[in-house]
Amino acid sequence: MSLDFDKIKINKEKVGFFRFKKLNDFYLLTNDISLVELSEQEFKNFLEGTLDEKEKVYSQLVKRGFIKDKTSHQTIIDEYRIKNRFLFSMGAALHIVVVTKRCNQLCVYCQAGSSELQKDYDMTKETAKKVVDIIFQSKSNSINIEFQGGEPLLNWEVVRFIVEYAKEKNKIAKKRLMFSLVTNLSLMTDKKYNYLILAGVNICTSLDGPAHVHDKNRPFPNGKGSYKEVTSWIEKSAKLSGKRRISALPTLTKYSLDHIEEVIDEYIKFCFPAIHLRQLSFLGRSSGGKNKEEFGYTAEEFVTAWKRGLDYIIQKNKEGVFIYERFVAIVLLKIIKGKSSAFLDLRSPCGAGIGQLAYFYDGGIYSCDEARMLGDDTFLLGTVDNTYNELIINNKKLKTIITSSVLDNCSCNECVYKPYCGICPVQNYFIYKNLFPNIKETDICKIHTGMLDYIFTKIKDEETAKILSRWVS
Amino acid sequence: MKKIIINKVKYSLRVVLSTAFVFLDNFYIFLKEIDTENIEVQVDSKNNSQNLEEFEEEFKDELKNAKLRQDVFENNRQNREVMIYTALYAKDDDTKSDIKKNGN
Repeated sequence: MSLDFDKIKINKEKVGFFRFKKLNDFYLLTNDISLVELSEQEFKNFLEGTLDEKEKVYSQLVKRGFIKDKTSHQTIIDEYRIKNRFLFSMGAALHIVVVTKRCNQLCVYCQAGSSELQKDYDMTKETAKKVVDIIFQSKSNSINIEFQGGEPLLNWEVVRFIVEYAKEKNKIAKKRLMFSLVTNLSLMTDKKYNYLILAGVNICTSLDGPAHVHDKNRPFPNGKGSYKEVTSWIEKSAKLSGKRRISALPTLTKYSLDHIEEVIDEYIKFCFPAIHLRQLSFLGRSSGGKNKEEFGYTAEEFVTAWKRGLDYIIQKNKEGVFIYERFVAIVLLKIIKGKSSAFLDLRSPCGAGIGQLAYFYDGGIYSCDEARMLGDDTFLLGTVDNTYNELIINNKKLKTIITSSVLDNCSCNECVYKPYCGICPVQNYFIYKNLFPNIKETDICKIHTGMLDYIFTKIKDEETAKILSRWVS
Repeated sequence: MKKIIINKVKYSLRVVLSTAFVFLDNFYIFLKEIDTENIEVQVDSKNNSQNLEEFEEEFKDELKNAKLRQDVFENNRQNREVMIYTALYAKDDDTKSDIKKNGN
């Protein structure tokens, strides 16, 4: 049974703004700064303004801004600023540089649509120099240059050039400068590895699970799997550096979902502290045809497998193994610590243009990494010959993109999970041909809702809550 | 096909639309204005497995949820706008005077 709200008279003087959802036997309420869980009776009393002021839940509701006649507005304003700190950032911090579109692998889900191409698809040093010059026009105090592809090691000289030139420029700019390289590791050599470690470049790779899963998802063009290449470097890196210097991300296909426990075991085997059980983006090679049919899945199928995976990870933690699921950790950071996350996908607006920019091999600059994968100029903001101001500040296209990811502009504004969620304009445009689709009908809404429902019910269990809180401590 | 009559004086069109969107995955929903006070909601299942009698109950429950959301939103609209505006645009010194001027 649920409350019959038609029979409840809301106390308009006391009841502040909230969104709500019934989960099992409790109501979850969120507002612009916090959340609270109420029993049915507590929720009814709250709405009618008859809660006993001596009750613990009453002081919680006041402190968290749900009872408006008692809450300090200055507190809400300050909290709002803290939770939305990213809105006050001075410019994009994440700069994705696609140094080549070429790739020596033929992954079944490749979002970038990369393949064995000619060198015409490499970024030149001249373009790379202009890219770095624009990056340093961002007013952000932090700059993270992420090398992407294709396979960036296929254009090694330009990777090196960008690292050296950016470091040189930073002698004057004095920003917090970081580098990441996203690579399949198959072209890694001792010389390149040593250079990257010495230059402070973080290395991130794809590991989709044990050999039979990884090789099915990530073959070379000749059909041979790439598991051996990637895992040999993960092992070698730990030996060479004395600690793990390579991080990894899995991408989950239909085949992976059937073996999700084995995928997690593989991450435990290589001592990775985290695993991000991510759904396919359905951009690029898995967006249609035979590949979508063979490797794709519905939102419901993904959520069912993700829940199984999360249960398995929690069970492993109970057995003394520390490993956390990254989506859960991002959400918990917001719930428990009240902090905004650097994860650009789960915020409003998303990171497009204001949090990140993607520099394509040909000098085109896109609003984000996904945007350059579409293969058209919908999200193209300009080129390396533009200034940062032309690309960002005075760019009408970017304003439209940003507007389309503000959750207040769509039905997400009514959703209890708004503070923990985000939408992707590129996916909406690509999949639904609409920057403003009915979000409730989209797969990403079904996936996020399913995951968040599960997280909020899991943390009701005391033992599980203790484990989950360790993931963000 | 199932027909449900909704009093639009009690439940605004926005509330009815918001409710209808929740069910679009499994049902075809058509809204028709009958007169100045009532809307007819015509419902048909997308795959005959959905029970239309159960749908009516669920739809009416969701309608009440949507109305509560809208009431709470409207009751707090002005107050919230001032606070968010202040958080985003005002200097700390301006905050107190803004709130004082706009109530609460």
